Amino acid sequence: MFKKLLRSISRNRVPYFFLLPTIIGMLVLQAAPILQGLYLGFLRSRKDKLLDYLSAPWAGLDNYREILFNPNSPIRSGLWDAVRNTACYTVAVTIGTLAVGTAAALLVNREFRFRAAARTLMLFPWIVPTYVVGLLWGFLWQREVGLINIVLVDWLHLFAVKPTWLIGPNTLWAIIIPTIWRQWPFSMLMLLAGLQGIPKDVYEAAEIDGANKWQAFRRITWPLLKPVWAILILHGLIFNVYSFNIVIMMFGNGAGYPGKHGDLLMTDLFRNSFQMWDFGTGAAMSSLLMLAMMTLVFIWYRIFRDQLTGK
Amino acid sequence: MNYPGAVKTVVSALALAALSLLAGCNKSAAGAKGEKGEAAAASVPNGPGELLVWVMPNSPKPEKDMESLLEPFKAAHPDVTVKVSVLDWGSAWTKLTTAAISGDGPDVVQLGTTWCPFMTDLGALLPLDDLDAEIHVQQSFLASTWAAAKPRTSEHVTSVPWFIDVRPMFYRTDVFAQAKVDPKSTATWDGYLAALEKIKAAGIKNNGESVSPIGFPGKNDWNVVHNFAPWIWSAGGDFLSPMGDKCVLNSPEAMKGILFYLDMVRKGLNPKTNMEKNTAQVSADFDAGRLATFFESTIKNVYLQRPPEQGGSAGSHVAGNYGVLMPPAGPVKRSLFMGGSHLAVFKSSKRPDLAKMLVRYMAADSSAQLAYADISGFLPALKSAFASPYFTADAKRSVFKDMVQYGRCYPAVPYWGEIETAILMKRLGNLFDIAAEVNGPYSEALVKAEVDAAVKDIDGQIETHFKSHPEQRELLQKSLAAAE
Repeated sequence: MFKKLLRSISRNRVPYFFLLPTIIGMLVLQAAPILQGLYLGFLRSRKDKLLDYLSAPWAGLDNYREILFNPNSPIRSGLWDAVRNTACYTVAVTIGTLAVGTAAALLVNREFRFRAAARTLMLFPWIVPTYVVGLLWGFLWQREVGLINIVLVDWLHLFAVKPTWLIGPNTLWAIIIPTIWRQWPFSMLMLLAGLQGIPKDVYEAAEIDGANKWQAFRRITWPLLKPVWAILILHGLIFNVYSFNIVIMMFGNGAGYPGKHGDLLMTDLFRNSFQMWDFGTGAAMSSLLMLAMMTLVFIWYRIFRDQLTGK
Repeated sequence: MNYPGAVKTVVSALALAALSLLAGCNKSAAGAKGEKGEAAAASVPNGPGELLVWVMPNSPKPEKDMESLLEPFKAAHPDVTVKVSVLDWGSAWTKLTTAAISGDGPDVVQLGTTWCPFMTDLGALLPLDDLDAEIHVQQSFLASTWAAAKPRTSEHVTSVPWFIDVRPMFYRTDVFAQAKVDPKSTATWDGYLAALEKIKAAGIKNNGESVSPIGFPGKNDWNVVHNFAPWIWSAGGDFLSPMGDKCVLNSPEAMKGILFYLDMVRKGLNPKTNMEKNTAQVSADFDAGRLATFFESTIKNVYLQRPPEQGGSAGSHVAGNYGVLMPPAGPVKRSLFMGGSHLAVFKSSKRPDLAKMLVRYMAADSSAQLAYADISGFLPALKSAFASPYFTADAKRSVFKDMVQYGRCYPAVPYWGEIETAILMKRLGNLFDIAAEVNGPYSEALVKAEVDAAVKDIDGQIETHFKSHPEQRELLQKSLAAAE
């Protein structure tokens, strides 16, 4: 394989020459910070060693031992709540975003008046900065004066008592729903591009063969959109595991702790690394998370390999 | 072409580039450390030039207000340009620490009281002992501000108190009158509790909504620890042991204060719905007439007296029917949370003597202190400023003046910052969830378990700190002996 690559480089020297600056740039700008982060995980980089930066004392595997095996470590406190919440949040947001995005893409792919305006308006949530989404929904979820309870209870009478969203077990829904609201336009945009790439004559041929709308969706749209879904699932998994802004801003404008039902890995990491001034352990936690994410991406690739390679 | 050779060259070049970058970063950090000392050593004494000042938004128009505060200083030093940058509180900490590490910071900087020990420990601040010899921090400034000026693990004065933040009780005079509650009866915990019960029983309405006896926010707020502190201290409890090396939050006295505060939620005196709000939202409830009492910084007084076109609420029903009271005394004593800010000079300052003169003007000049108190609504840190009719002739401000003697700051130890923001914010925040019964029925055992967990986390954090700073135990002992 390596020899094959070298042969290809030898045959296409000019294109590779032009690609070289990009490759060097990517390696330096991406590989260097990753290496630095990994290295930091082996250092005792706490507040008293801030000025030493990468010359902080060598800690070996101490930071990893502290996270994985020391039950009394403050770092461990609430970590499993954060892992559980992040897993539920990531799955729910990714599925929710895909479902809403697919429905919206199918809708705006049809011919109707003001279609262009509708498509533009639907992108609105996507252009709202994530920290603004957190602040905005923090007001909407207020139990007594928040618009959501007014709609659900006062107007629609769906609940007998106004639910509390910003404390307690409902907290997770209070962060899942705004994230889906913020992200579905992106899924819609990608899926719309996918839908427009499917030739109309395929549907016409299916119609001639007697296929109904559902069969056309099931046999044509669904399989042909699979590569787009694969990319969106990957994007959703990565983006949502690293979600931070919405949750940190919704609960006290960055005050810190969203509670055991709302704490995510990134807010936990922020608290234990930046607020505790323990960058070595923070880097070790980030490295472990990176390892978990690489495993997840590997599983994703195994599942969607055929769709991505067109086999 | 020799493929392996070419590959080796490319890989070596890439590795070299990456290593250079890493080494460069490392070098710049190390260089900054060295340069800071050099800059301080090669500093230019008094002379013309520019002073860079970093402050936080302490008043409605921070830049303009600072300009007017600094006018007399500029008039006295026409050859000096003072450039003020206003940092927002959210990003200030990151910018300050970055400046401290890089050595590229301002000359004069505003520091929150709890930040002073950390920045001192980091070695970012210039010792101000010579300035202290001139202005006598211990004699001239309020006693509770000394600790942050000379942190317990430092042998130098590294900052000078600028202004203080205390939280009086704002109350509705009309609601108290309707409920037939004498404001003076709220001077003790028992009296205050009885007054709140009486207001609740009176069932007073405001625009059809019940007026709650008290309002305070839950865990979604920056003030969680500040809100608990006076109740813990007034019951005779504390966060840390006198030496500062152990957490004592689960002592019977501290637990008494914690349970008393939570009981106000349990008894329905503070509605459970407030548990999901932050201070700004509860403050808005007070403005809208939904609360009978509310503890808030003295800046609330300025807000209630300022006309609406300047962002205040003068002329509103609440603004015409409010008073201020000293927060109640606990079973052991009256001890009130005191925050605020200090002024410090960065070691990297190129004009340290000029910077010290500016600090001296802003902190030790009585007129400057009064001028800034009037602009910002915070209180002066300089004792002599309280003798002014500005405080003695105004009924509400005279309450503030009386309050400052009961003010208390958090322990001035370098590890307090992470204890407060990372551990107590979370653990004490969880207590509000327990009181609101969001995870199941309330019990004192649940509260105790959460406080015990906080103690375990804090002790772990203190141990971690002393592992790398064993010498600081001795400094803490010395400082305790000196205090005693």
